[in-house]
Amino acid sequence: MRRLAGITKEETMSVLIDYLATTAVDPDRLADLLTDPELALRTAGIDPNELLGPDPKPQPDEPDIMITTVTPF
Amino acid sequence: MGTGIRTTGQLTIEAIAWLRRADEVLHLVGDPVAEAVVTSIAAGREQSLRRFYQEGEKRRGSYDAMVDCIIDRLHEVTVLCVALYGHPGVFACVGHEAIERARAEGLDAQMLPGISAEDCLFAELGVDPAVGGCLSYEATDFLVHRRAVDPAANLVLWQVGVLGEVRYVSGTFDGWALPLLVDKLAEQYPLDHEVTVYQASTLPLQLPRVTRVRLDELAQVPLTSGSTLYVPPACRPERDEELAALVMERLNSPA
Repeated sequence: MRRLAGITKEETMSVLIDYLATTAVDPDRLADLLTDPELALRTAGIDPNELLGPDPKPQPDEPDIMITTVTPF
Repeated sequence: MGTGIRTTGQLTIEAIAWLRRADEVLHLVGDPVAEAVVTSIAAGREQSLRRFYQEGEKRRGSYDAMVDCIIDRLHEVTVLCVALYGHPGVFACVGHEAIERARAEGLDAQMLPGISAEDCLFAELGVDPAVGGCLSYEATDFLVHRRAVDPAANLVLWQVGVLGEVRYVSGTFDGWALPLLVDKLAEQYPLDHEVTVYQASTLPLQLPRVTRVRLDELAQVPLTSGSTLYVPPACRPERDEELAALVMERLNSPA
């Protein structure tokens, strides 16, 4: 899934903030954003190309974050 | 109530309900989306507590002024909602102190839990505090006190990006005390032990900032006021053979 990459235009920032604020209290809109961000942003009148970065690189089989853990006993 | 770290997605139904029903809303939130949520839901009956921060002044004085303001407003309205970012009771003395004072004056007050940065850290770094245990300190507090450190447990140091800074400063921090923290941690951890500088994302679809470095490279990592240091266990805990045998004996005995 493409991720938010950065916001540079002040006008876009203002529209995005309003959109995210409305989405915060509307689970259906949030579900749309999380599952198909490009369509959701476009529907909200925001050009997704201004916000979303490239698709992330394929992840290796190993987990990205290796953490040493210990087991009690 | 707390607005969560990533308001779009972490604002609870309960929090939304109180924002809608409160006579007045006071808020101190960390990002423009959270502020837009509060100001849109509570339009015309909200005010920010941010004005109590004074550049270069001690944060403690600002917090006292915020608590005074909350109590003053509580005397003027029937339902007052105070919205703080994250969890309103985690690294947020204002929430606890306001509730304590309100109750001392015979007023009804309750805290609604929110999603804290620690909750985000556990989820996004894959840390279970029950596995190995977890120590959690404010970074400056950890630095200036002779805390017991258990290198067999997870260690989380909050506000490491403002280590040694008790004033409110809106710009960047120089990280002058980071080498002192590295020296202190090096008493218990090897210098090549991998640590993680973590900052939760505040927007949906945004990735958290996760930087993994050796302990002796920590001072070179650019930090922000939202940075948290996570130190994973460096060894296994020492087992108390006597007590462990007792527990195992009970485990193996017939029910």
